[in-house]
Amino acid sequence: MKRGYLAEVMLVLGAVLTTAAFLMTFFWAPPSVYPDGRVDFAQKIFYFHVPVAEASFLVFFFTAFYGVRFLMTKRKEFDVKARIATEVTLFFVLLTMATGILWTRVEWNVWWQWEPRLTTYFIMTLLVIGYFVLRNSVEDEERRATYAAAFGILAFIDAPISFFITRVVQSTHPVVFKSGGLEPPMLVTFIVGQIGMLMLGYAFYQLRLKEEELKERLEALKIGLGG
Amino acid sequence: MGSLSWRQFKAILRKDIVMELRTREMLTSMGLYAILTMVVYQIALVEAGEGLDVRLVMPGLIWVAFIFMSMLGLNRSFVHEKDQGCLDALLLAPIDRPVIFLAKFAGNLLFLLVVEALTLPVFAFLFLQGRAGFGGPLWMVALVLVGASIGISGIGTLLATISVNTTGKDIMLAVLFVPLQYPLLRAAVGATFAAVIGGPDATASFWNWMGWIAGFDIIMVLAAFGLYEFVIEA
Amino acid sequence: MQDIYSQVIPQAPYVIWAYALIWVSLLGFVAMVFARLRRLDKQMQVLEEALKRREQQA
Repeated sequence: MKRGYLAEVMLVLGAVLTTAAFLMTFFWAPPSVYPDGRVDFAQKIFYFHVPVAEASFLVFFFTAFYGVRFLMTKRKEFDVKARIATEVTLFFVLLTMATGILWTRVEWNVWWQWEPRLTTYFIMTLLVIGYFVLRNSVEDEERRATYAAAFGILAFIDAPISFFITRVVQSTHPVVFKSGGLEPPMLVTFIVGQIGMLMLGYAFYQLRLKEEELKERLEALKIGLGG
Repeated sequence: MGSLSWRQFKAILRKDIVMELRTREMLTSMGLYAILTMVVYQIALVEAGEGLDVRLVMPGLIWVAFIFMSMLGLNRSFVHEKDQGCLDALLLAPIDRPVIFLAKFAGNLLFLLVVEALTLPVFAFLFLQGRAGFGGPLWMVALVLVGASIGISGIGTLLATISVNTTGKDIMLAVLFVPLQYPLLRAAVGATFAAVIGGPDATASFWNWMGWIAGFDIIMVLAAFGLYEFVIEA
Repeated sequence: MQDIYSQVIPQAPYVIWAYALIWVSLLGFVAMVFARLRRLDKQMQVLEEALKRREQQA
């Protein structure tokens, strides 16, 4: 079980890095200030909000990737991998939504605004939920896998289009990487958090996969015993 | 496409049209649905009074009606195929899978466009009389209708094939269809708005939105086309 | 200094909530997966032993 071991290493590394980023956020990164000189404390949310958001999108890529692999090979393992990737996506997407809403409440004084990135994430949440609703309403295993793969691929293509089309309209969401927008300590904190979160995403995915594989072996064993 | 495929394409499309002409089920149900939606709109707008500039909300209203109407039609078109075993028969016949997609897509697009063309004047008759008229030329509206309907029918054909084989048929189509169509609807509303308002600025914005619609159509319909073969054989 | 606190404190609850939510969710996810893995491992052992016993009997 070499891969399972790697998952645990990544989990520990991810935990260390995100904890470091968390401490850096509050003890090292300089506070962001509004144009009028007041301290923008809520900007601290961004050090975890953005890494979680980018991790969610990266993991969603694997839904589509394993969806394609499944359609090419019809092998069940790829369907399991695609499903788990989507599960982890849903987890990260919900976290992104929650932290985004809290940030919105501070900066714009409302809990919700139909702002491009919020809208995109709302749509993405619906797509990911739709993926699972679809899975739950197909009985036949291979058919379920095929439908889920097809929808996963379409959803992954659709999400960036939603993202760009909402940006056609003037956005009030902060642009993270505008030129010279971040001081080096801020950028370093953010990057540490981002790498940590990606490692956590990888570890989550592998751990869940391990669980599924174990479950499958167990089922096989039970059948073997029963027979 | 070889001449055989072309003949197969025409045969499937003709079958759908003949059946529709005989039963008129899809056209009447979709058309009625659109009219009923307008009754609801009247209620929705009644408190806003005469001062409301209907042109500001009209693009959104018509696309709400069309998106739900299209789901109704898409569902019908495949429930029939499934109930009467047509889909299984089609699959047994030596027909290329892409031909099935293109024929169903063309049929759905045709019905959708017909109903849209019939209900849009009704909408104008009920809501736009005595108000400031259309700012832009009518061909702009027609172009949006065609552009957006291509995307709706293309993805809809794939998703309806999926949803007809699930336990929750109608609701399943909506759950999959609406979020996927978000970008297209956004662009369609933007383009319709530009067409209704008119003027040079609006024309520039119109072509911008039409670019989005064209891009969405090409990417998503190609994706649906590519995935259809796997879906229909599952 | 007083000034900075008066600016930070109204925003603080939301920042705290955001981080608390993330940490609790991440820890919860890991804890749940590990708990399930341990249970599966235990079941696996029981089954393997049962299989071994059966083989010895046969």
